[in-house]
Amino acid sequence: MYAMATPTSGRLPAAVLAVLVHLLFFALLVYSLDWKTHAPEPVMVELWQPQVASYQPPPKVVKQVEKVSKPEPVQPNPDIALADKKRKLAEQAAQLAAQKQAAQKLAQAAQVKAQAQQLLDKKLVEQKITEQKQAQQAKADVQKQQAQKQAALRQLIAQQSQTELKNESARALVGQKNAASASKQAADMSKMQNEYVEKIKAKIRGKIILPDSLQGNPQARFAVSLLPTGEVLQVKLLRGSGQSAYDDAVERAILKASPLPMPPDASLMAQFRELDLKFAKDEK
Amino acid sequence: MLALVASASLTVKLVMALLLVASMMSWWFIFIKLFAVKRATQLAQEFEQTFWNGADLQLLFERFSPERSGELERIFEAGFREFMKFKKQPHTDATMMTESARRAMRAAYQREMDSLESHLSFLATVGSVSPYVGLFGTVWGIMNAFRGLANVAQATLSHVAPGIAEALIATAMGLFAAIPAVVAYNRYTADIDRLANRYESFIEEFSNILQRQANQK
Repeated sequence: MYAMATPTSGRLPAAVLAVLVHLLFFALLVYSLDWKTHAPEPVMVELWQPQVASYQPPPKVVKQVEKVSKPEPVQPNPDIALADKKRKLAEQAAQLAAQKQAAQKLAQAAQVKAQAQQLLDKKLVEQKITEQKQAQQAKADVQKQQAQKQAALRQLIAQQSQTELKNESARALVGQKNAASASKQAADMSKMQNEYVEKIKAKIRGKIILPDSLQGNPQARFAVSLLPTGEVLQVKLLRGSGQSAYDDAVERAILKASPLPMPPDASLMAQFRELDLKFAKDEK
Repeated sequence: MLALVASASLTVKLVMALLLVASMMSWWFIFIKLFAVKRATQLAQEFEQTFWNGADLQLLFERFSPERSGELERIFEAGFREFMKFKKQPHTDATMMTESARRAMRAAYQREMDSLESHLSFLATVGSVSPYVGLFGTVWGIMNAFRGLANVAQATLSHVAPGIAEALIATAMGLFAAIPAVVAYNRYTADIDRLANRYESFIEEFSNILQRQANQK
């Protein structure tokens, strides 16, 4: 009957002490886990990602331009062959201009694509950027406007941390320069490509020994595979002229002309590994 | 840390609440037992001192008050009360007197031990089960963290880390509940065992004294 007398005596102080121990433990835990408050900082670092992405695309643009402009050198020649010399010259000039325009357009389109990609990346970080992206896509024709908008965008992001401001504006400038140089490069490259195709054709033409028995103006198309050094690996007749004597003569000339002149630019050289060449007897 | 607890899933929250209650209860019992065992040891020592210093048994018995007595005193009281009952009756056997007094003391001893050992089983349960409960909460939380990870295209540590951290809090709480409970359980069982030995030896010695008194009659 007295058995419970002992436990009851210390019940309240025991409860108070128990609560105290827990409060102490909790305070210790909160204090020692204080590092958790520093955790948000890595989140700030995520802001770097879109800029890195925006910085990368320019090389992509260059590659795309190269690929697209590959078939271009083939187009002018057959028409030229058929035309008079005057007309030929005029057309060539016109086509060169057209090519340049096409290359520029392609470069612009590629840039727009690349920028769209960048913006997709940014979208993950900020919703604002998606709106900006739509606006950009609508006005994608003027390149400078885009660059300015990008700069503005970056500045928006940069406002969040002033230390990043300098880096970002520098990057924006680099991006603008890249964008501008990309179109120039594309134009230069198509120019250079035509130049070297003409050089190659000239060298081959010099080696052609025409048989006497030819009639009319035979035309032949060859697929030529080259080594990076310019040496001819393989010559394949794509479309014969109908006079095998002419086809054979040109094929011999191509093999004789090896090594062919190759552009010094490594990226352009890749386009010259497989050539599609057209030859006509009267073309000189 | 509060955010970690708040962002946990319902199951993990329930586990944490359970562990918090278990921890509170076990600490409460730890302090109750601490006071009780301390008091019992002190009172036993005091009583033994007065008892073996040749105090008058009758005086000791009359001085007894249920509110301010220790376990040992109560055992003595139960035995002496039984002895006195037989002493008043004529023609009683001495061995019977001591035997019945001893039985009464045994009963009192059992009662006292029962009250001293109360809640110890709760401490043992908390000590052995709460780590598992905490582990369950952790496993559940990590499961959720990884399930959330499945929806993310690019999995990084930052996607899993908060989930795992919040889940690990459950294990921490389980351990926080378990470790003191286990330590207290071991300590109190040892203390109470020592007290029990003390009481038992007192019962034996007091029985001898009672037997001597019964024979003197």
